Amino acid sequence: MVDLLSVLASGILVGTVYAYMAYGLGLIYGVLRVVNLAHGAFLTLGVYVTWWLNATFGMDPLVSILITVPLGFALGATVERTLVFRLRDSPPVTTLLLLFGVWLIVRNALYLIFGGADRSLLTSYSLESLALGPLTLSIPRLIVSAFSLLGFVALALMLKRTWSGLALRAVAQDREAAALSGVPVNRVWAVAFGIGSALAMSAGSLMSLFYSVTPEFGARFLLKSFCVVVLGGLTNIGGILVAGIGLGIAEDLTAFYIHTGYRDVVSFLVLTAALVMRRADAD
Amino acid sequence: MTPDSRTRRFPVLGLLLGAGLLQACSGGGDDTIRIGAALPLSGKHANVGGFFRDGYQLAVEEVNAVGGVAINGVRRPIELRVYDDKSDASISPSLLERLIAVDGAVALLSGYSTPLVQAQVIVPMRRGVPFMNAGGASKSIFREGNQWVFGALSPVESLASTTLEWLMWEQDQERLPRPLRVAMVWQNTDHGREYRTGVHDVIRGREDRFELVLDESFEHLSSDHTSLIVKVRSVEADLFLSDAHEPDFLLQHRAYVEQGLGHIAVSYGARGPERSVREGLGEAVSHLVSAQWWTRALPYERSRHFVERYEAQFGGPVTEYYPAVAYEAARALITAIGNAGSTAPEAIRDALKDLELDDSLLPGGRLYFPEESRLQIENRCVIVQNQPEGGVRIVFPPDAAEGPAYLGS
Repeated sequence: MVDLLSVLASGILVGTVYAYMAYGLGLIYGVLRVVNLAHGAFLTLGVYVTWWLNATFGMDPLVSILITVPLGFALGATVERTLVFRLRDSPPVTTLLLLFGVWLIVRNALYLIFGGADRSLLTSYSLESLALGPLTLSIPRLIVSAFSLLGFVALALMLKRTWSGLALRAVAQDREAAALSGVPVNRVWAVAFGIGSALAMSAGSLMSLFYSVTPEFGARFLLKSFCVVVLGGLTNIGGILVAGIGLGIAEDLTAFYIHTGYRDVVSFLVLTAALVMRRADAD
Repeated sequence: MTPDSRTRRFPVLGLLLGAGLLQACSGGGDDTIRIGAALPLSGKHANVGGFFRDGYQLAVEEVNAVGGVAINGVRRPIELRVYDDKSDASISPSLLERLIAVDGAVALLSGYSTPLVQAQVIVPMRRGVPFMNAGGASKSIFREGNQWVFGALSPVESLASTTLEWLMWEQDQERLPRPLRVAMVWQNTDHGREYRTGVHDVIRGREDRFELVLDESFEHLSSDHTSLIVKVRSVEADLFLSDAHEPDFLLQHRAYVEQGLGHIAVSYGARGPERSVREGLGEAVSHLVSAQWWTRALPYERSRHFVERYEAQFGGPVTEYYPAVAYEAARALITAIGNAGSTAPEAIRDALKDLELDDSLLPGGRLYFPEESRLQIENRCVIVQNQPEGGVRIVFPPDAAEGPAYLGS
């Protein structure tokens, strides 16, 4: 019973990390209808900026979010304005390839600047855990889960209670109707890309608490982010949170009760099933 | 010959002529003997590639300092030519082709990592050029009937077998119980599978000493290891063995510490003494036991000589095995070129087959390439244990041990 509870708790904690790294991907797809392959680049930039700030100034990763969030917003909005915007009426595959190119440029730049070595950072709470009865929960993972839930609440409130959120939802529903109603669509696109990128970079910052930092970091998690977004409903932030947690639990139960080697297979089985079911619904 | 086929052949002839001219221009006609390597100097293995370049260079500089390698009484300098394969297995073989065809390399030294070396060995085998491998331990590199690829790195299985030899030695000293309950996990790669084979080969028929209570693989670059560690906890083993590359090791040991596990001994194969590991996990890696292909504290004259030379030239304490094994591989190749009395590939190959270095810096102090293991050395590794506050101590074999191992309860 203790083992089952431990595995469930681990699944929930891992799942909230999956959700956090997928929010930005879902938001950008919802508003721009763009599959952002540069998402992996922003995740990777997040871990590198955080690691560098820690290695150079001893800055705590939690504090570094104050830098990675605005930096991510500025970089994301710039990428949208200078690159994505120019291709907005092109076939989707053009934008897809463009953003894939952005990812490759960032990855190779990181190789050139920092080399390919695995790096990691250590804080006073990196290896701390919290005992809850028979359960032992990792403090860094609890922190990331708290941020994930906080991010979900903040995003949901922003979308529902603010003018910007209303504009984002309007553009997501019908771009032309929103433009006719006076919504500055171009600016909304830049804001959506900026928020999505800021979320990705902050997720990277927090994930540096337990994952090693390499230029391949984004590749490791991009596919998992896609699984969560597809499973959660592409544009539904609440659905993404539930999907992330569900995927985390499914992976951990599979690893514990069937075989650890099948852990990552679960994600892709779920992705395939979700895509097939969506296709069937559409037909 | 049709006009079409003629036009097709002209570019080929042009390329061959060009290659010949380039070779002549690059000094192929002088006394210099050229050897070469394609190393990962950028990309994901860049840090390790640099260690290999330094180790190779040191061996070449040593021989050149006395005028070069003696062939039939005449000293000829060695030139090491190195290209960057950018850690890309699709580029690496073509760089070796270039080293042979354009630069006139008479023998080759390997790059680093099993996948890259696996891609490289096709070239020397097809071209019939001696290839000295110091960067890939997997047995899959050394194929049936291999004549050209020589291995200066013992197989991955020896990491596992030496670890278990050490445990049996501790049992014989009555410092460990019999049988030991062993939980083993391994990454699902050639490296991990060979580690597992090494463990099984030793414990087979030794039920009085070992009881394997968990034997499970995990995927490389897994996103979480907590459920696996909970599984390890549930089997209540005495000993935890894992074979993992660095990113998985960091995540796995983090989960191990977070879940509050403890065993008599914990080993992650060759992982443990690296500086990057201390940076990521701090004191949590104290008392980890690891099997190493080389460590700076080995009490051999050649090893001390290497440490002094390396640290004088490149600075800082040498904490990794890579430059030492690279140095030894290059030294073996250069010695064989001298013994061959010729730069003909067949002569160098035969000299490598006959080579025996009795002053090796590798564990055991001896380097040769047995035919029965397809020309890959099969030396025992050395077992070290991380010490609190940094540093490592040799705990096995007994003739090199610096003190007893700390064993948990």
